Amino acid sequence: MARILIIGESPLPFEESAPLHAPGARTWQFAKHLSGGGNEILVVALRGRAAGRGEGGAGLSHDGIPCRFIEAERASPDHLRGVCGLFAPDALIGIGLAGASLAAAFRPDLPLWADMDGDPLFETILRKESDGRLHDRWLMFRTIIRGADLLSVSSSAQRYILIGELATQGRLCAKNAGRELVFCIPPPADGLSVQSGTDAAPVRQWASSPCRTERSVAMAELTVLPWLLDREDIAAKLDELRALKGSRLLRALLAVVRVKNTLTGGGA
Amino acid sequence: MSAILFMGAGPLPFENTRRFSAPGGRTWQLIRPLLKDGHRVLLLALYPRDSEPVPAGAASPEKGLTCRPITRDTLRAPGALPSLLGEFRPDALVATGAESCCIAAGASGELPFWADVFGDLLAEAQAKAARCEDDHWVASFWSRFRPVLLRGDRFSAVSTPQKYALLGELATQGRVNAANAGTELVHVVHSAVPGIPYRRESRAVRGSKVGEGDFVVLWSGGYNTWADTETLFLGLEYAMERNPAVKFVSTGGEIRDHDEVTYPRFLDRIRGSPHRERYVMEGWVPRERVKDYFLDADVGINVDRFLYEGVLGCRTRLLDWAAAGLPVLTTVLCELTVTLDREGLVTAFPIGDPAALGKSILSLAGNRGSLRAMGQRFREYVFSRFTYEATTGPIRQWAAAPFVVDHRTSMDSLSPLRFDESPEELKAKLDELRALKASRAYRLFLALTGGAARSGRRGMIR
Repeated sequence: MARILIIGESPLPFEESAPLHAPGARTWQFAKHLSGGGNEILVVALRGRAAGRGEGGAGLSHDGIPCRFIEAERASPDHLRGVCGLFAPDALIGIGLAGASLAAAFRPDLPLWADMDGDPLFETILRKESDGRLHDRWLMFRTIIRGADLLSVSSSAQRYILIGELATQGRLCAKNAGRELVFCIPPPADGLSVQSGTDAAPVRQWASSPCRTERSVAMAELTVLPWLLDREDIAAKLDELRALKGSRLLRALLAVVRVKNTLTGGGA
Repeated sequence: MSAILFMGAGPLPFENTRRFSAPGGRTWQLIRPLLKDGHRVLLLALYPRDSEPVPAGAASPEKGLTCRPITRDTLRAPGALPSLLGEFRPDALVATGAESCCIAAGASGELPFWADVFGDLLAEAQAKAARCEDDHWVASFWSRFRPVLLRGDRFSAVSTPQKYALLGELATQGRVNAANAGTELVHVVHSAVPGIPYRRESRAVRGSKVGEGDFVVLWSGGYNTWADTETLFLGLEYAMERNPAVKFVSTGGEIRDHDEVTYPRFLDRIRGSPHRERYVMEGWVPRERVKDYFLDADVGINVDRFLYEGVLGCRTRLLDWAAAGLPVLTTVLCELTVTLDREGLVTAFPIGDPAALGKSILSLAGNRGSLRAMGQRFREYVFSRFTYEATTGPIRQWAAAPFVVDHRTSMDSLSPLRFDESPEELKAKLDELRALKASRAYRLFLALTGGAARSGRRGMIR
């Protein structure tokens, strides 16, 4: 059994006068399902400012599952750390674009299951949002598909789409060949019931012993050819190079190693 | 009618070469209907390095086709493409297969470009990386694939799952955007066969290398990265131990430049078998002889490992077997095998289960009458659905009036980041970073700073 932090979205189905909200229902679906497996669960639900209900939830639990609420606009790893208090998770589950991207940034060292009920890139098109917005959502989504160990979706078509998206980030590699990375967990017929049976079995199985999925380094690391990288990757690497070259300590170490090599005739 | 420049692969099915490749079959599947529709086609065909030389302007059975064999280096020479085109003025460009699509993406200019991505390249890269235990293949395939994603106007995939994966790949490059919302960017063009039943010309192995009453399990085609030869071997051994009539006949072998590991490994296993004399390993045989092997066999066998390559791809060889009415024993992974299994047209066994495979062989060997009947039903089904004409509707429609997409953006173009450096300068800086991070001084630096200098982004730094 594991301690699992689920980062999802409000309103959760039991919140007063809350309309049925797919990400909230999905969050609760996972929480109920895993709680039933004997895991210790904490749900943190991101709340839009428009909901007008603010943050809170300390001491609140529903069906025995403790829940906290934070404003989506204030969501950050540091803020989340404060909200979690003494709850030290063994694994993370992120629900939806906001929840999963926060989870990926929160504790990159922990196993992460990301649930994407709907593809953010295609939804951006559906909403007729601007290309700039598409790029913003892509950066959030990319954090998820690079960081998550396993993922779930709500339809078989989306499963294949996500496999393609993962592939472009170098996530299909020798180390995890033959492993299923993306699972289809359809929503319950009424949107609320706890999913049972084989569809949700993978997440329960994973939760019983959460672990990182073996992976290669990111696609960006597999090559040094700039035309294979996107601009954010190149910018990050140039920043890193600048930072390293600006470090007095590293410069000193390089000089020491150079001198030592000169004296001993060794290589770098 | 359009003039279509087609970049594909050889050998084509009507060429009687020893080495037949799936890309060659795919090339012909797409070209033949275009010719029948009255288009003129100039085919620039890449041939495998180990194939027999094909003369320029090779004869084709179809009017309107000119075929020019090329090598990987042909188009690198300055002025090569205009020279190959001669007087041919293309209205559109079609390419099929990884290499041809990559070459076409670079050579397409302003021509409307249909990219037939025949199997998911990144899933194939994973399969190859796993076989070679080397992830650089992932980046290598990506370097060829990304330009195709960015340049293609229309795409086709070999299965419905691959269509969706390709949409996902396009989406990450910003190719699914507001400007083309509601447009079908990717079409499914299933694998197909000419629809002509094979007739026996002579016996291949019956009465010579295998007995008249033997139960012949046939493998044909390349031993590719996805082939689970360990399960195949153990399953055959299981059956051979229990039924002396079971024989294994294989045509095909290693795939030069792609998978030169799987087949030799399989041969090593066979050499150590107490039943090794019951394995008839023929290697690659001339195309016109292959059908005689199909007709001599009792069942064709396909053994997949679980890989996304299989989930998204297609085992086209099954369709070839259908032309001979050869029944199929297969794992169920790709859309084609899922469909055939659902229709009760093949015998299926679980992936990675040699005992189940062995038992299936024994069961089929004991029930040859119904097996033949299944082969006949299989042929009828394939001939009614997987023909060239039935599968190529989308590309034929496009070829009648090819067009360039009106707004071709990319995720990069949406990024506010710009660089002053040339690609060469950027490469030099990235090389500098890599060298720095490979140095002993950097390792000391990390140790002294407690790794604080390491990027917070997971997986970014080795």
